[in-house]
Amino acid sequence: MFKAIRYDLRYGVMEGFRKYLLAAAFGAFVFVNFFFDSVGQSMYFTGGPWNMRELGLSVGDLIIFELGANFGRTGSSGATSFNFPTLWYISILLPCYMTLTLASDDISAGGVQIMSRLQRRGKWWLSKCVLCAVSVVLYYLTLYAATWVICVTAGFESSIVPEETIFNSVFGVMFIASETTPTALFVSLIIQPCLVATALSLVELTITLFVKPIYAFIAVAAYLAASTLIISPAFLGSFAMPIRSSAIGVYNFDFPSCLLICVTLSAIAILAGRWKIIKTDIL
Amino acid sequence: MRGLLKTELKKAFQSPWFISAVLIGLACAAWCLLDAAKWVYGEGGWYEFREGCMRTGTIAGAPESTTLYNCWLGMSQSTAHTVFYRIFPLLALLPCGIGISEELNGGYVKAVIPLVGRRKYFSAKLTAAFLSGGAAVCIPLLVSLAATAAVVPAIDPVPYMSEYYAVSHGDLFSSFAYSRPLLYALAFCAVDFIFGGLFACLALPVALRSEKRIAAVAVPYIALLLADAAKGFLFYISYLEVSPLDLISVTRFNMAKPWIYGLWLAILVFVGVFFGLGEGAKRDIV
Repeated sequence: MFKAIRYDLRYGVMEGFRKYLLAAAFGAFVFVNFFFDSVGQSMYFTGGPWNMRELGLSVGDLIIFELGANFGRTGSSGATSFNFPTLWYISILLPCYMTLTLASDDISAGGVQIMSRLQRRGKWWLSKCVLCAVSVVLYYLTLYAATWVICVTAGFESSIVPEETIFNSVFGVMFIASETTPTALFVSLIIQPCLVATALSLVELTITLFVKPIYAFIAVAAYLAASTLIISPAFLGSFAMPIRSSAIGVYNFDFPSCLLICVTLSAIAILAGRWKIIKTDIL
Repeated sequence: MRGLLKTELKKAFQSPWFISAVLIGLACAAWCLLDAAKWVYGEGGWYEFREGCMRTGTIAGAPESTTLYNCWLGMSQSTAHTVFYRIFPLLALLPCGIGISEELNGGYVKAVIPLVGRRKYFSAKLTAAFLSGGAAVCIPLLVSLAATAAVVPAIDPVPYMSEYYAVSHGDLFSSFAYSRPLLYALAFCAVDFIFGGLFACLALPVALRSEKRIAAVAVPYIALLLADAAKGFLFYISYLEVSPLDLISVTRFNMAKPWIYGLWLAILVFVGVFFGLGEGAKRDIV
């Protein structure tokens, strides 16, 4: 069992390190977006683009403004008030794409031989699930590490706490930093998105055993797009949006609920996948 | 060439991917239609409001706020509209994307190219991708327009209700957006057809470089999403809409200038023809 996991991690993660360069490149792209947004805020608050340092923006602001998503569609002000959170959307779709064909590629390559050598198909499937989860966690580590390094190098603060005035100006709601803790913010800004992406990737991986991978990708893409508009625990994307987390205080998408739902969903996905792989005629 | 094109078109339009893309689009159209019916005939909806006004003899609210032209999939405020336009490139890429990748990475090209030549083969492939990609996104839009017309009255929009019909002076086709709204809706269907077709052509350059079948669909999709995200780069300086996904959607005050459409068309044609057809024609098939 551990041999299978070690084998998968070796060939799936270490030798496929180029995909993590993609995560780092995406982090750089997110920073460029944040930089231009900061120029806009600087022009508004200080009267010019050169006084950006006076705003005291930090890594927390970057995550909230660029990867924090939105409050969903509220009220009846119409579509003109709705901005689709594209960067947040890509940040979840990328790991889903990276892990999409882990199982199907392996089955069409040498996976069948590995299954027979492991003597149990369930072990093969479990090692694929572990590889999927590790890949997503490494993706997030790379993404956040890249954005943190670029932010700090560019002179932004390394704090995880967003700046209150800018937050209130951008989102139009009050955020009081003293009412939350850096730990709570760390959990909602960093851990929750990673947890949700892991659960979604596992579900997507399981779906690829039933239908072609492209259908699984479309299903996840549509589900996430709907999450940006519909504020409900049934749409797991809300838990991955730092802006809707309980730490920000507008909605109550808290960590315990997120953990419970993600773990349950992952367990169901793993069991369903195991059942399917055992039933499949691999000959 | 004609026979080859006919074969490629047949493959593209009869593939299960094309049918899947159209069905997903139609599901969005049905969702949008349900929302429209709810707004018009539902509790507290437009119809009930009008009835109440007539009963009490008070002045009715502006009827132009709910019309066919802001309830169909292309211009609705429904969630379905947002979902449709965010998966728009994916739907366009589906009919030919996987097929191109399978043919390039399988043995099919090795059998066909010696018979017809590289340039003819890739030209036919691009044409089929363009037409099937455009059709996959345009069919749900046209069906939505027709189906919504059966539910929502086609009242002409007026400029003072621009909150609900977001077309402002200088936008693409704004000269007839209020005087001929049906023509405006059809013109946007044509724009979406062209953009859908060009998005579909992006699958070829990717398929030529990647052995992963899904890459031909997913990579252009994510690239277009990144182009959408980059719209904020110059926003504080230019105040212009540059996102390709917002430009094809009619629902926002998007400062959609015709020259930006032209620029995007030029970029997409260049990528499709230069990196797709050009490189494909030079590709060694042995």
